[in-house]
Amino acid sequence: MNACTDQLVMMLVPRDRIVSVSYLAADPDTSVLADKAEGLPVNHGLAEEILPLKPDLVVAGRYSARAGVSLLKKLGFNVLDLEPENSLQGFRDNLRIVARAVGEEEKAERIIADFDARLERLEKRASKTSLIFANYGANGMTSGAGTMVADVVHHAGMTTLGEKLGFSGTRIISLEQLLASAPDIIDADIYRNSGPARANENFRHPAFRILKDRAETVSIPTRYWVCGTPKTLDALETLIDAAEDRAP
Amino acid sequence: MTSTRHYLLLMLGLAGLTVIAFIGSFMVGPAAIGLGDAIRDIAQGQGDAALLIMREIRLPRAILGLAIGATLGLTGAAFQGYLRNPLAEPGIIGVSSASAFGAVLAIYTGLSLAFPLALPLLAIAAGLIAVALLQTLAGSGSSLTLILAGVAISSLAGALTALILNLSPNPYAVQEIVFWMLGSVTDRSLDHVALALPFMVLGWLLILPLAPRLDVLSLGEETAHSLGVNLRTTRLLLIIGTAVAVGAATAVSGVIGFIGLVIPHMLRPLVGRKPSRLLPASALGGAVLLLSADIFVRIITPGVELKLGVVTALIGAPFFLFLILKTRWAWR
Repeated sequence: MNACTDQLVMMLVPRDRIVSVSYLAADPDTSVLADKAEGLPVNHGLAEEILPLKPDLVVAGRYSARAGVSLLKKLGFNVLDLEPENSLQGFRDNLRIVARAVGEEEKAERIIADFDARLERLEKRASKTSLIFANYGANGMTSGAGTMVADVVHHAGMTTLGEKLGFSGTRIISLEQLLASAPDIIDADIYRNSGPARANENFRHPAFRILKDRAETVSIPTRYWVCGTPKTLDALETLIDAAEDRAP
Repeated sequence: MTSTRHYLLLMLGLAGLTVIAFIGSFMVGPAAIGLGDAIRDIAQGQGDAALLIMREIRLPRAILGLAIGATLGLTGAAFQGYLRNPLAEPGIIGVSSASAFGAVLAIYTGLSLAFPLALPLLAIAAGLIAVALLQTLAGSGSSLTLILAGVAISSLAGALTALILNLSPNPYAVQEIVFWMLGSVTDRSLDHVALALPFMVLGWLLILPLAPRLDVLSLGEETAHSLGVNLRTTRLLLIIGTAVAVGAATAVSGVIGFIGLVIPHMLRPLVGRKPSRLLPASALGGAVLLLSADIFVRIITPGVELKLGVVTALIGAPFFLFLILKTRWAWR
């Protein structure tokens, strides 16, 4: 019933064991496994949608769809609540927890071993010059400490702008702050660029265009690191490539 | 002529405050950069982040604050004078909400991406429809009818705005209701100035020359008519001027309420109740209030800026209640 937990489940078990996934897990903008979810009934975190499917196990995020999840618990369903994944370690932990619940421990360990091997190869190339990375999303959202983005950025040997400004979590920053801090690498990926909205106007601001010309620009799709998956390492690789381009 | 001297002094004072607030607007912002940093940038010709912030972010913000404040103050004063109704104001009579609806229509259908002028033009058109509707519903009625008509128009426009934002495929559109209802000039660019300022100036040029006629009108419609004031052209010019100026302002800033209500009331006793003097004074007063409110939102909650409409409503709504009480006492 959560975009991230559903992707973990889809990684581990064959499709015929899944009766429903969150609509976000089936959305190619949010989920790297959207193609696997194709054709599966989607839910929007409502108990009404889950009840008639009579699942043996409900996997949910600790902070999402609370009303629906608590109702299901009250009705006696077997609910597995997972902490949000704020780091690569969080992904490993959650994958193991789900694997235990569905009896696919071996498969989980294989996935994690492949993941760690690739991570190790990438980390050898991590930047040593402590660059500042700024993701600048719709409405001017950027990541601070304690987020998956920050953890990936650390593995690339960099710091996020949010950490430099001293906040944790994801926040809106003004264009002024972005300009004043002159980040080295900017990720200006427009999450779900579907239909015009004011949220995307900051990308057309002349000051932002000037800034983009001066920094290294990358475009990392949100789905790569909104949840921890093996694809999260693609985000890491893009960052490391950009840092190498930036370094003299 | 002490009253003329008083008036000149008042105008000078307001102009001085406007200049101070305008300059002040350059000095505060989320990036801790002052005017000195920008001057140093110019002098040294390197590391021009400060200069960039001044030119591309704070300059458009200050210009828009000034022009939008002036527009709201001026149109508020003009409407109060024309309708001889102390509660008239672009926000309360529904013009602002209607303009916001026009702007929302232009942005979220993608029209303004293809044709930028569609943004102010649609906002102006929607504003015109609202004023025309108001005029037919409550043109010669009491204060109460006017306010009720305004509430109805505002609600309708607000609902239509919310409907369009809800229907938008963009996931952020719904959150943007807050911007359209409460207004802000944060992170606007010189492009927005270029889109809105010419229309606002056009609106001022249409309204300001009406001031002497409004003086005569304050003696009553029949007297004004017998003194040769053409009520129909006055009304037409006022309606068009208001829709053009408020429409353009709202298209780039969202709805900013109460400035047009508060400022004329504060200044009226000081200018001797003559609309011809109240109009320019209210324009300056509106600019001072909006610029100050915009400085205020940057100072009290740095990082997560308040919307401008929150501040103007916190000042304006109690004032509005006070006005209603005053009107009730007058009726007794």
